Amino acid sequence: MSNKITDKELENLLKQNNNKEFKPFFSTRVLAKIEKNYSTPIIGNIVANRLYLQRYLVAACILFLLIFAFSVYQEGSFSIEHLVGLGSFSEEDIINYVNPLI
Amino acid sequence: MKSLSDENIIELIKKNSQQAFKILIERYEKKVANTVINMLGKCDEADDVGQEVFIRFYNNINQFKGNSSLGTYLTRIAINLSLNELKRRQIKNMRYLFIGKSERDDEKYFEIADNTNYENNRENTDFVNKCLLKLEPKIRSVIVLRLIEGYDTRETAEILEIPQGTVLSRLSRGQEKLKDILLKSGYKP
Repeated sequence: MSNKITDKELENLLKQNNNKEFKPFFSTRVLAKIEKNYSTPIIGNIVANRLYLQRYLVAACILFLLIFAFSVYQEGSFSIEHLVGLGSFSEEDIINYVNPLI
Repeated sequence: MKSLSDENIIELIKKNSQQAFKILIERYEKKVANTVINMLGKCDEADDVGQEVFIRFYNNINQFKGNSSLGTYLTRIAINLSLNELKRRQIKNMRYLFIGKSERDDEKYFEIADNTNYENNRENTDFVNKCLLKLEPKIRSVIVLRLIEGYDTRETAEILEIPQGTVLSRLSRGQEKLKDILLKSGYKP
């Protein structure tokens, strides 16, 4: 007896696989989901659809807090200039950078 | 109402008939289930993707122009959503790999498939499905559409939006790989 599967045999095996079903009451569940989607207010829907952004928002907040903490730790006090990286420049340096001819 | 044609049912759905939509779901539920479960395996996600297929169709019903049959249109949505779900799983698995968690969905499935022995599971109708899940998703989709759903090469190419030549090459590669997997899992021809 051959130890190989013929194309026909494979096709027959796969055809037997053509009897899959979802869990019971599938149509009822789909209709309930649609009903629920339509009853959610528009703003609520937008928020619900953007929930996947939550993790990026959390990561961004953590990053901001780390930078903020580092800035406070380095300078000993909070200042916007230090936070955006301008703390180590004097007013004169900035004016020279903006207009070197003055 | 059950004897209405697809076109009439769609017209009724456009007029907000829930009853008509229920009939349409019941008419195509099995077809969508075959596509989705053969692509994803029998799991909770398959049921969710199946529901999403009909919800997407309902929400975008005006986009259906009738260029292809409703069955083909729904199959296209089902295949696309299944491929998206597989990508999502892949990303999730990569994330688990980074944080060292072993709860990987696909792997769980592969483990089941690896333990599947045809000799011990002759009655197990899921045997072929588990072997099918070991194929690459893009090859699996061709096998599912061509050999299980019974679409011809042209229709398969249209659903997957790839050239017919690609369908044929993926089909031949998929058949060989699947035979190999079946034999390694203990299937005796």
